[in-house]
Amino acid sequence: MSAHQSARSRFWSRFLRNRVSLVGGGYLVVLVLVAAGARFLTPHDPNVATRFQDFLFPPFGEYLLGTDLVGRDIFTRLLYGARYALFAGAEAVLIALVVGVPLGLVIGYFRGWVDRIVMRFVETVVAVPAVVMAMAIIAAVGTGLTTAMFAIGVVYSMIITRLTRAEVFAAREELYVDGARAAGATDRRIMWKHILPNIAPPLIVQTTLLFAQAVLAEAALSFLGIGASAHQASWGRMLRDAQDSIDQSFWPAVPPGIAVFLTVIAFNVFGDGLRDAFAREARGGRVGVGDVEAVDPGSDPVPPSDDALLTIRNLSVRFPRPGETEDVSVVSGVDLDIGRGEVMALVGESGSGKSITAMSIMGLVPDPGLASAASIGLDGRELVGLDFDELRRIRGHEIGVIFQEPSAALNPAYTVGRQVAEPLEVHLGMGRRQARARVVELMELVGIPDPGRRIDAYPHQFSGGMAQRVVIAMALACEPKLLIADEPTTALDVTVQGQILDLVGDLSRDLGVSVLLITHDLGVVADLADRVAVMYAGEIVETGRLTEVFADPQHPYTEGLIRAIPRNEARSGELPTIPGVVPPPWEWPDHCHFADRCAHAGDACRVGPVPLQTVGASSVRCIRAGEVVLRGVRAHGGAAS
Amino acid sequence: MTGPADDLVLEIDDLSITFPGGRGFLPWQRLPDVRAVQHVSLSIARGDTLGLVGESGSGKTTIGRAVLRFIRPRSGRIRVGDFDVTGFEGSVPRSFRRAVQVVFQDPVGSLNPSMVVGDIVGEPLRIHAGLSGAARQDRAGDLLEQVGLQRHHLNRYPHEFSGGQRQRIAVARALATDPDLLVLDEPVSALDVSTQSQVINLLERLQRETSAAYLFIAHDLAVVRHVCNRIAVMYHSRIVETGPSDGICDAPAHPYTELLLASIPDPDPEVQTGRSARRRALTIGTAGSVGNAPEDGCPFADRCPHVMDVCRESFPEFTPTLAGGEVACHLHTSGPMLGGAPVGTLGSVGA
Repeated sequence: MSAHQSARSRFWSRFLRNRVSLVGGGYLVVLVLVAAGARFLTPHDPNVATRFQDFLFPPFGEYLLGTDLVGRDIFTRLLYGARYALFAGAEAVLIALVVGVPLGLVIGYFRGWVDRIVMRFVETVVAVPAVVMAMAIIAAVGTGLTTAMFAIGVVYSMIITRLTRAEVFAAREELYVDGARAAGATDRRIMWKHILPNIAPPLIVQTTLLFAQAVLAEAALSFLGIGASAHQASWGRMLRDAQDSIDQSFWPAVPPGIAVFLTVIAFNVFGDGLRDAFAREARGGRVGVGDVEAVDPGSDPVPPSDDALLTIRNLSVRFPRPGETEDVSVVSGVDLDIGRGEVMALVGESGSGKSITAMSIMGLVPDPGLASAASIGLDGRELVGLDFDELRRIRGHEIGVIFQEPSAALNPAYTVGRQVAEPLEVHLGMGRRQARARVVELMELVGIPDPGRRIDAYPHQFSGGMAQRVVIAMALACEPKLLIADEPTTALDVTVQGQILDLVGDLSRDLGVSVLLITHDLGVVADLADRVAVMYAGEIVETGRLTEVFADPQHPYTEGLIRAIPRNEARSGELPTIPGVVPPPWEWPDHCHFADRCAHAGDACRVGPVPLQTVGASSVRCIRAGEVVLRGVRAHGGAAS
Repeated sequence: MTGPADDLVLEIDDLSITFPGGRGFLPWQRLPDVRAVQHVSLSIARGDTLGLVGESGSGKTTIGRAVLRFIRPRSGRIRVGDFDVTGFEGSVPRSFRRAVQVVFQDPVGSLNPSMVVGDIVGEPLRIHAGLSGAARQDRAGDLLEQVGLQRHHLNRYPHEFSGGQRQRIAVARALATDPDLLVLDEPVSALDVSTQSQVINLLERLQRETSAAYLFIAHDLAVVRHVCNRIAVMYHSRIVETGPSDGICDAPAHPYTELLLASIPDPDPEVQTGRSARRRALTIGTAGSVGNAPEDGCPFADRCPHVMDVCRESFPEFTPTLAGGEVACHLHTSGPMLGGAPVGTLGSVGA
C-alpha cells in the first residue's frame, strides 16, 4: 500500500513544485469559495440598484468597483458572476463527460460500422466552431443560460468522445485487456474496470481545459444576449451591459473582462500542470546527463596495464532518493581495463548496474544521477573532468555504441544512408558526396547486400537483423577505438543473433576495435568475449579471462549464473536457480552484497565490505574464494553440440 | 507421449489462419491476405506440456490466440476438452473461459496497473466462482502463497513487484479457475536466467499438482527442451517437425531444427566454438523470414543448405522420424531419402 501512496504523493509533490500551476489552482479554490460565500462578502444585491441611483459611480468607498449603467454594484455582480461561471462550466463539462466518455468507450472498444458512422458525425460537429454550433442549437431549443450551456456541453461531448475513443484504441491492445478477456470478464467490465481507469489522466486534463473553454463560451453567448438573462449577474451579461454604456464609461467592462481572463488562464495552467505531472509519472523521469566528478583513487589503485585502451578506476554512480537525504549507490568502486582489440563482456542480471557503468564512460548518466571516478582513461586521454561538449566529440567518434533495439536506435523519418552519414559529416567534416561513398563502404563492411541501392531505403524496409547491421555501420562510421554493445542481440531472433555476433567478432579482429559487450546471456559471452567481468548489485564480483572464469568460477554468483542458463542437454531434476532476486539498491548491505542469496555464506561474510582479491589469474570479491568448490561450464557433463 | 484420445485436452486439426491484407495506395486496392498459420495439427494430453517453438513471425503466438478464441481461424478445427472452439457462435461460453487460461510474456503489460493484486487474482474468482468480499480475498491469498508470494501482497499494486514476481502473479490469476489448459506465451523470455528457472520450476510443480495441460510457446529451444515433453517446431506459418523433446534436440530431422539448435550459444567456450562453426556452415544468406509465407512449397527453402527443386513446388508430407516424431521435409521423401534419420547424418554441410 505504502509504495502506491508514495506514487500518488510523488504525483502531487511534482504538481506542487510547479509554481505557476499552483497559483492557478489557488485562484480556482478562491473562486469556488467566493462563489459559495458571495452573499456574505457583500452587503448589496447583484440585481437591485443602490439607494441613491448612483449610475456609473466610479470605484470608491462603498462601491469597491463602482456601479454600472443602472446603478448596481459591480463588485457584488462580479462575486455572483463567479457562481454563474462555475455553474455554466460545470454543466457543459458534465454533459460532455456523461455523453462523451461512454460513447467513446463503446465505439473505441467495438469499432466497426457504428464507430465509422459516429465518427463522421463527430468530425462534422467538431469542424464548426463551438460557439457557432451552440448558436444553432440555441436557435432550435431557445435561449437562456441553462440551454446555452447545454448546447455547449453537447458540442464538447464530441471532443470528449473523440479523445476517449483514441485512448481506448491504444488501451484495448494492452496485454492486461487480453488477460481480463481470458479470465472471462464481460466487455462491459473490461471497458469500465480495465480500460477507463488507465485512460483517465488525459481525460482529466482535457476536462480541465474544456472547463476554461466553457467559461469563455458562457461569456461570449451571454454577451451576444442568448446566454444569461438580464437578472442573472454573469460575467458575460456584465460585459453586455457595459457595452451599452461604453460611450459614457469604459470602466464597467474592465472587472468582468479581467475575471474571465484570469479564470480561463487559471484553468489552463492548472490543466497544463496536471498534464506535466501525469506525463512524468508515465515516463518515470527525464533522461539527461551529468558530468563525471573526479574523486580520490582510493587507498590502493591498481596501475593501468600498458596495452589497455580503456582504464576505469573507482567508478561510482549515485542517485538521489525522493524523500531521503542520503543518495543511493547503484554502481560502486568499479575498476575495469579493456585491452586493444579485446572483447570484454560485462555480465549480470538486470539491476546489477552493468548498463549504467557503460553509459557513464561516455558521461551519459540518467538525469538526477551523479557519476564519479578517480580516472577514466581512453587511449591515454583522461575523460574525467571533460565538459559536455568535449565528451560529445568523443561519443560517436572515439566510442561507438550499439543498442539492444535497432528499431529504436534508427530514426524512421530518414533514409539509413543519411543516418550513417551524419557522424561522418559532424565528426569528420566530410562533404555529402564523400560521406555517401564511405557509407556504401561501411554498409558493405557490415554485410548489407546491395548497399548502393539500399542506402536510400528507410529503416522500416529492413528486418531486425539488417537494421542492427545499419546501427553497427553507424557506430563504426568514425573508426572508433571502442565499441560499446549493450545487449546487441537480445531483441533479435536466435538464428540472426549468431550472424550479428560473428559480425562483431570479425570487425573487432579485422579493425582492431575493442568491444565492451553488455549482456545477461552467458552463451553470447562465450561466443564473443576474451575476458569477462561479472557484476552483481553495483559491484564487480569476478573478473578474468573467459575460459578460466567459466571453466573454474571463483564467486558463487558466477557459478549460479552458469548453472542457471538452460543448455541443450538432457534434463535431470529441478532446474538450478539462484534463490531470491537482486534487491533494490537501497537495500544493499555494507558487507558482501550477495550473502543473502549465497549457499556458502557464513557469519564472516556479513562483517564488512569485501575487497577484490587475486585468485589465480582472476580477481574475486569473495572472502571464501579458493575455499569452496564451485562448478563451471564443464561440470554439466558432455554437452551435445 | 499422447494418451488415449479421450485424454486429449487440446486438439488442433488442419488449422489455417490468415489476416486480411492492408489497403493499397488507392482506396480500392487490397494487398494479398497474410498467411499466418497453414495446415497446423497439434494435440496435448492431460498433464503434458507441448512446446511450440519458432522465431518471431512464425505464427506460434497466433495459434495461442486462436486457442484462446481471441481470433477466428479461416479453416480447421480447435477442440479444448468438450468445447468446439472453432464452432462457437457469437459470444464465448463462460465455462470455456474457466477451462483455458493464459500467461503472457510481458510481465509489465499483462497486469492492469490500476488494480491491486488482490483484485487482479480475484477477478476470475468473482466471475467464475461468484466469490466476493472476504471469501475472495482468502482464496486469492491462498493462490499467492501457492505461487510463492505472500498474503500481504494482496493490497499492493503490480508496479511494486519485480519481473519474476509479476509473472508469479500472472500465474496465480491463471490458476484461479483451476484450468484444464494453460497457454503460456513466452512466459519466461523477459526474465533473467536465475528468475527464469524459478518460474519454470514453479510451473512444473503446479502442473504436478493440478494435471493441467500446458501449451508452452517460446523461441528458445534450450528452455523448451527442459520444460516440455514434446516439441513442435514452426517456421513461417508451418509446423516442420514434431517429436519428443530429447529426440528432437539430440537428433533433429529438419534442417531448420538443426539450424535452431546450432544457434543456441553455449556458455562453454569450447562447445561454442564448434557450435558456431556448425551454425555458419548451415547459414545461407542473411535474411530472416520476411514477406508472406508461400502457399505451396517449403517456407524454409530459401535458407536451406540442402534445398532441391521439389522444395519450391510442394510442401512435403509428414514422415515419421527415428526420434519418434514427424518431419515435413523432402530430404526424407525424395532426394537423399533420409527416411526419418537425423539430418546430421547427411554429412556436414560445407565441411
